[in-house]
Amino acid sequence: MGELGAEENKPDLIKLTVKASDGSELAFKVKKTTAMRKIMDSFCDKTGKNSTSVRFMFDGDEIEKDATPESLGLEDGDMIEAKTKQLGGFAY
Amino acid sequence: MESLIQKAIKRNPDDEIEGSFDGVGTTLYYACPQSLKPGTWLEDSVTILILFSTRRRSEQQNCKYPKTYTFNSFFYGFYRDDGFQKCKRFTIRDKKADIFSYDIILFPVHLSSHWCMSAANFIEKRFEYYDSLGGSDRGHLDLMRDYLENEHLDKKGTPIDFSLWKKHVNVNNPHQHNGYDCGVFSLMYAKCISEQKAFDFSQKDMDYFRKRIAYEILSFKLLD
Repeated sequence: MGELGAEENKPDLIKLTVKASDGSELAFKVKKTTAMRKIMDSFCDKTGKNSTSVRFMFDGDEIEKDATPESLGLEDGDMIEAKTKQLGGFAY
Repeated sequence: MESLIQKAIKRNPDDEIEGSFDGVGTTLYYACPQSLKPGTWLEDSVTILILFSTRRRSEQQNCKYPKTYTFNSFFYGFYRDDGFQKCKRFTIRDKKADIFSYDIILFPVHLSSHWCMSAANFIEKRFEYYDSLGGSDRGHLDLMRDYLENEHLDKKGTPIDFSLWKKHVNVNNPHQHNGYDCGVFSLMYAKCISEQKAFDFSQKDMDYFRKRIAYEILSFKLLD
């Protein structure tokens, strides 16, 4: 489990899980005031994805990078979904 | 218009664009407007920005167009895979939006590598679906109806009556004649639906609309 911008066992840490499009999950312990950017960048580093090709979503909407768990109303145990960017031209 | 677009096309696609649309907090990269270069496949962020701006514009008091609510292109996937239990939170989070106070609700459709547009049209009482290749609605209109029925029951406490509504699939919609313009077609369908006018464009107009949409994104404002 990754820890970002925080030491362990602090009471204000929450656990967030990021679920990738292939169903795999990565968990992070973060402060409620940590910018979501840190979680997103760490997820992309660990999974080898380019951050511009992933859409991080919570409750159906894309998450702002400068938002924090606090500003988004995220609670301990919440899940964020990392969807692959959608592109389209014609074929299906 | 030209110089702003030309400058943006030369940027690194992974660079973030400074500034933002009113109310859209997500990070915007140059890859977004660059996906509007002629012959390029359109990416989701274009759809999200243009549709959200369409909604914002329609919510202004002096707007001459019908009030339009918009979902993003991930919605159908969420609803199909996770059902109403998950999706019922979406409109609570969104400032307690009452989607039934809108005249039009747009649901963009992404099919692995193809864009289409669908809409619940409360003015005409129609479930609408437009595919620039003329394909069938592939069950999306049933999903839309199912979601709206569940959402009404959940938020209003009463069933919604769709008994007079009709499906309206690929009626008089212009088609693409190539392998890359579907995203622009789908956004033009959305524009005409939300402005309640007949489809007044065709394949030959697509490069112009690509430029126009790129400009709208780079200047953070819809053109009239």
